[in-house]
Amino acid sequence: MISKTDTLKLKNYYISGFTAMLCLASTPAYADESLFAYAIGSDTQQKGRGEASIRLTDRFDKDSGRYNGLDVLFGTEYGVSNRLSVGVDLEIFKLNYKNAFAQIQTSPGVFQDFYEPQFNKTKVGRYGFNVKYQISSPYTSKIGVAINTEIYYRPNFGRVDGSKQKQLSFEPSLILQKNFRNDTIVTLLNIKAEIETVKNRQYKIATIDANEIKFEPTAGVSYRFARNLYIGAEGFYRADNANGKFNHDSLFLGPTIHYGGKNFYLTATFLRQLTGSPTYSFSTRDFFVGRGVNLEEETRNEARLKIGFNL
Amino acid sequence: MINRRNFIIGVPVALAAISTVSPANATVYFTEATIRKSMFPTASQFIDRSLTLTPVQVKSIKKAASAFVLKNKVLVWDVMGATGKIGTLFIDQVYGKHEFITYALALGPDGEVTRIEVMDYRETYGEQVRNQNWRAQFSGKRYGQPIFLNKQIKNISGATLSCIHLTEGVRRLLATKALVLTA
Repeated sequence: MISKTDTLKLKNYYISGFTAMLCLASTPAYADESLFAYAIGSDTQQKGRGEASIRLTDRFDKDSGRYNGLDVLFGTEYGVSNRLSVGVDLEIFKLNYKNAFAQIQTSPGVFQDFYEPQFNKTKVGRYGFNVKYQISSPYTSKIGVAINTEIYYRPNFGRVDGSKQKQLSFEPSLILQKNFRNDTIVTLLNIKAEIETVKNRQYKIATIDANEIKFEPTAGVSYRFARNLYIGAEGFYRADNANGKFNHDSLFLGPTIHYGGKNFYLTATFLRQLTGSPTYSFSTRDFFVGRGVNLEEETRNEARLKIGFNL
Repeated sequence: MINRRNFIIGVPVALAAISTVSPANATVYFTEATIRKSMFPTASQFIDRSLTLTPVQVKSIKKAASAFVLKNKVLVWDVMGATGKIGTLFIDQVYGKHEFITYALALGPDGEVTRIEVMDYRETYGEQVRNQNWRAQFSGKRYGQPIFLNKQIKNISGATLSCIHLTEGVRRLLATKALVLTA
């Protein structure tokens, strides 16, 4: 459930997003614009051209209580050549929840909070750097292929529960893009691995170090159904292993819409978690959270809005 | 009050509204009247031969040109001079990334390309296809000859989408001329 306070705060974020969009409407849109909010295309920036973007991701609804994670990512990218782009980003992360996590069974019949019962903080979420290289163009080759690599550092707290930690992540992706019907139908497949090193993750009753590997294929299809407008669907599957053991997985899918004009572009996607492995507690395997979905690491729903413009 | 449900519903509605009301922002280089004068300065008459392609014709053009047929309506004129027919003029559109690119193709009396001009360009990127040297690569090309990007026609890096769609457009119009207009 969403409280009135949350609604008002969200209202401010959304209004800020739209205001930024409208303020930027007089500047030209950029070449490597995102048809999707999650899946990445194989195009890169034009040589010598720069871009900036704002990306709002709202993650909400767990199995119980109230949960809202809002990431606002400010990014900029520059075309070193027509095939090579580099970019940096800064994320502001707001996490607000109360009674959203189930207690865990620490010994027979004894249940304890593993995560904080409530949390409400806004901090720098991450500093990131990315490099993207296009191997082949989807317009002149049978398939567009690109490699994207992201490196980022989370200096403050984890995205799931706000536990204090230091996290360094390395995310290489293979991007495949195939266009159909005179480039009016765009299909994408991203195969991404996330390799993370977490130090001093401070849960309520434990502090851990972890090395996690996530496997995250993301796919999308979008159709240009009218002048400037694309509509489609996208989704991702995310599975992670912690310290060599399978942890959990989840599948998200939902609709996406894209507006691309001469002055700016805007993409919005709503994702629903369709299925996932019910999460077992950290210390025992007989206490499950969620029913057919992964609601410990993930939320039921995600919505993302991305706005792009030229510098 | 804005809540998530309103937001989720509101974004697509807002996008549709933006798309509907936003101006095209086209840079118009030629109108129909000025392109006629520019491409055929000695013409005495333009005879409208515009037509609507049948599904069978669309299929045969698509096959012959290896190109997508965007619209079945073809805008075409026979261009007459003092001594008879001096050429053919097409005005056509191809897809840009978000908008259409309107261009004109002039053919000589024997069906060879004499000139191609971009009449308006609405996209943010790719306007390099207006470059005279790039357009000159099509001069003298005829139906039946291979006209493909990165082979006979050099690509402009950073304007690939516009280049490939205009190249396909030329192939399609040459096939239209050969298979439909002279049939």
